[in-house]
Amino acid sequence: MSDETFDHTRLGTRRQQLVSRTIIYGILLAFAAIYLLPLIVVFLTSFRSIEDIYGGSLIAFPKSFDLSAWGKVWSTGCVGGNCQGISPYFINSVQLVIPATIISTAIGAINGYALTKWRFRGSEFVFAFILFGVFIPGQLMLLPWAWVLGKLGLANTTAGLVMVHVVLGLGFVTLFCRNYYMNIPDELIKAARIDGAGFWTIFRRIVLPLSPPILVVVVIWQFTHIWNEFLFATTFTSGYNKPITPALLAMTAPQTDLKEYNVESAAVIIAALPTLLIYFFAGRYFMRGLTAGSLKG
Amino acid sequence: MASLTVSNLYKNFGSVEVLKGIDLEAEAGEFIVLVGPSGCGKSTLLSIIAGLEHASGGDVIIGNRIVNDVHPKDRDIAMVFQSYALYPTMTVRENLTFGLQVRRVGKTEQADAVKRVSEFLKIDQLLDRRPSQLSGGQRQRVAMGRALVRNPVLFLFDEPLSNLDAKLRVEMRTEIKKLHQALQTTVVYVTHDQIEAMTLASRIAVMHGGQIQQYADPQTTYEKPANTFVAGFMGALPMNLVRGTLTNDGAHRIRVSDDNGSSFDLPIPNPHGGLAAFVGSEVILGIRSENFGERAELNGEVPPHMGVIDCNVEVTEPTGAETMVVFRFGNEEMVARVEPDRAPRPGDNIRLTVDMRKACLFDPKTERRIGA
Repeated sequence: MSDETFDHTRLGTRRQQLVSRTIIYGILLAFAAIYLLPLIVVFLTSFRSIEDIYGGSLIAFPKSFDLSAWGKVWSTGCVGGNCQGISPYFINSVQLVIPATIISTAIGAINGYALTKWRFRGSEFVFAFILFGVFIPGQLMLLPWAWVLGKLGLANTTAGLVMVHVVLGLGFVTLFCRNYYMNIPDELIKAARIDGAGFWTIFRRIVLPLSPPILVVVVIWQFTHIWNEFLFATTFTSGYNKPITPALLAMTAPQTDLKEYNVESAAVIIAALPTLLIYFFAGRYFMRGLTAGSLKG
Repeated sequence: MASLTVSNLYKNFGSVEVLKGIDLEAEAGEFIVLVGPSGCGKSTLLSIIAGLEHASGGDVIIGNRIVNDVHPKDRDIAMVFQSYALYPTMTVRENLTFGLQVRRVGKTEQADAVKRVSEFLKIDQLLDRRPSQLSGGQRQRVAMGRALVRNPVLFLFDEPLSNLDAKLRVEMRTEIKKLHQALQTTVVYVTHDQIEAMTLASRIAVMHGGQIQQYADPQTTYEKPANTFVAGFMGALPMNLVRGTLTNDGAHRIRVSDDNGSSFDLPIPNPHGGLAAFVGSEVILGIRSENFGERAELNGEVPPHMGVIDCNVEVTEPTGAETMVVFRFGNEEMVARVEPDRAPRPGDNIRLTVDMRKACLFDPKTERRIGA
């Protein structure tokens, strides 16, 4: 760095710099620890035996590496009287989150495309209407949804929850996609129309190939929200039809005198794993997609 | 190639009237340029011809077919956009063939078309690149290639050169002209650059305020502008306009006076019959800057078609080939072009001649040119 160039990080002497760096990294480390410690504790606990936990401190390193809690929680643990582990509920959640994410993303992308590139009389109003859904609290919608699902015969089914999440997610997904597609030049669409392409051909051949950044954002967003959602899941399903979040609550609710902290810890990690993994693998694209379009070119 | 007719075309956006009764005819093979300042409606007119927008009233006829309700893809047209609008995720080859694929043209025919067009436009080395890997001039060529590949009957250009730097723009202008001479396809070309209009067009439609002000060949638009707007818009320098009074003492003359009391009588060598109505009243005199000459250039007698004026030089602007001399005449600022080696200096009092055969007269009320 030459003396002529101004470097805003280089204020004050070398000594002052060192001090301020230390303070900054100290604070960052402290916050990282606050976020990470619970995860570490839960992770360690899941590998401890129940005797180890009750024999010593609640927070400690495993004395022996014990995998029995993981096996138990997956296939024999009891969830509100059903002792088949949390695997059925995990599978329920997978069967819920995959179709709900795909369908809501697909519809949102088509909405965003239609609202920006095929403006029609009242399209702004339609968008405002869709967006309004984002601001309605979920609790307000519980009763109407219960009525709809009942009428459709979808109460206490995964398909019913898929429908709920597709509709609930539409506002956000449409907003994300619309804002992204605003930055695709209209001339591209005009050129394609003159080339002879119609609504779907343009979407498939021109718009979709430009969409990966925003689709990654939307998929992560929807996946995380639907996987973690609790209110609708617990209200509209029961028994073996529960997704993982209400099942997790049922499992950790006191049933016997002896609380199996190791099993519960393993359950928590299993429940959190999919969202952690998706962020781990696609997180880079998530950040990139969120800021895409804020800079030109 | 096909002829194009636009008749009595209107376009409103809400309560805003963008096009107010446009009539335009292009014969097959013509190169029509729509030129005008931004907001004059020229791009809207092009969009309506393309079918990308609907007119509020009037007809668009391509060949013998009224295409008002025909989808853009079925109009047998091709369009080149200002931003080129190349499909960013496709290679040059895919960009060229997209329109053919959508129309289900056979693979061998597609390959033949790509070969023909890419060799013609000298982009055959670039076929596997993406638009982001091309220079501005190359993108421009690909955009034209995409238009050419389908052999349309009508080409539409929407300010295709405005994104290029000045040097490349002149080169591509020549390329477009060569292209048209080789293909003889009817072209409608939109630009705000009057030099592009002059150099390319077989006929120019000068637009302003949603109306066509004049539709004529370039030389006519330059020499005989229909009104003061066209006079001011066309030409590298706007036509010099000054008010004067028309007199008739056996011969028509125009008297131009200024607030300082100086006054000059200029002859009108070929008076038009319509002038009679203006005798004794005010008219607007228009003089192109190259129609001023230096008095010293004339040896002896002043010919009867020449006027002579005295003026004081305010500024001189050398451009190399000629020098612009800015002076005041009849309360207006005027520009004359003179040879650089004869250029006066600022502050000089000079005597200029005016070739009044080339002068135009305008009605000050309607601002239309008086005469045929």
